[in-house]
Amino acid sequence: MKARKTLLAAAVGTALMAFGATATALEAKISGQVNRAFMAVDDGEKSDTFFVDNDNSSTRFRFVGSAEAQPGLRMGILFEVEFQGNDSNLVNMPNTPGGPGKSTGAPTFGERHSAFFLEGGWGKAMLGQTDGAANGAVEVDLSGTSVAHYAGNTDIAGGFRFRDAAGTLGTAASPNPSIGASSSQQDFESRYDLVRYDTPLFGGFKLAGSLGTKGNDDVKEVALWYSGNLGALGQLAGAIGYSRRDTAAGDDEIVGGSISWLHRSGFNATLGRTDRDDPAAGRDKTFSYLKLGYKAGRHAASVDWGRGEDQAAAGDESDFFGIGYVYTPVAWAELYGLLKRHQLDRPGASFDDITVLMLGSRVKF
Amino acid sequence: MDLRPALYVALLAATLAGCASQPLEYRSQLEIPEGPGMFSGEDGAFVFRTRAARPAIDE
Repeated sequence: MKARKTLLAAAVGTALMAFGATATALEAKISGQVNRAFMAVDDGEKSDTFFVDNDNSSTRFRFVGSAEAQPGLRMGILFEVEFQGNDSNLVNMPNTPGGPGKSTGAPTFGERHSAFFLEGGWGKAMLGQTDGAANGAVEVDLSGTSVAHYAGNTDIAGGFRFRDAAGTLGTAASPNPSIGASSSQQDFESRYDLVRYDTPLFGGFKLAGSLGTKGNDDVKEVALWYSGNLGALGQLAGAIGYSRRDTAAGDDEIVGGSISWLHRSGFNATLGRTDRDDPAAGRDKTFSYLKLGYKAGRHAASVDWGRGEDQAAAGDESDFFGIGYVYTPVAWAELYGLLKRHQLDRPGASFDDITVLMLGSRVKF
Repeated sequence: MDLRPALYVALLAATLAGCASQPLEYRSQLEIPEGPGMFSGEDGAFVFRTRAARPAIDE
């Protein structure tokens, strides 16, 4: 990693000197954030505390560089890595079948974006690892509380398993279902190696499409994004997307989207929904989400509800309810709190609810 | 696959979008926030520019 950083710094320096000599307008920006939190979890039988990196918006570094290659054509790179230890979506109770328990071990770097882009009046094209065209389409949210809670409910405490009537977490051969497996927001195919094209904005709308590979599977995504200022009615943003992953079991398809409205009074409402046709599981899986909030000055608060159906097993209904609050004392820091409860109903089985409390801070440096 | 839920969302978005007075750039709150940074100041990033890219005030 040290060698990579040195190489990157040398490349940036050389590029700046080279372009500087030819009077090319080149700009490079390095930014980042730290997002750490305290988490307490009660699974109905045991309770414990955890120190985590909040996977809603992980600790990370970003490098963006671009230059005007010719009039009307800008080219550049986007490089972003996350550096997480005790990821909030991975830790779970000690002695959980499959682990990892309270610690995930040494922190690791993870590639988020490593892509080249071309941009002009015709839109934007990207090549490399970055977001698929529909990534985030079920997570559009104007509440100001996303760092505490949003549709991606499994990013916090997703690794915890539900205790059964006997008070166990299952066995190594047959562990009980986790939050992550029961109420995923099914946000399409995330980030992978791809080529992507985004149209320019037309009246607040843009269309995006991507083709790529994830593992050994080919992936195609398309999405329509919207965002607009409605004047006295406030702001509105939304997206609908479709993805298809060609797996060995067949086409894994997801369709869905979200819409979020922020009124000028500070009241806001968010709605999301996805339907997945999972050929490996042999059934359809759904996710529904609703959030209501209020935002005023440095404060934002919200309540949310979501449900995953038929995700871990046919007939499953996994509900969650949350209350979140974010305080922004200075422009570069947020302090947040979250209280959330997860339930799993399965025909012929009984599971305890899981309650999660999280207190943390995201600081941009 | 049942496309109805996505269709309803799209119709609602399109209807409300008809009232839009001006475009707004949506930015996910899950990304590094815009605005100033603790150490990077008002720029919100450590910025390196060639002379040609510097604002006129630097000249």
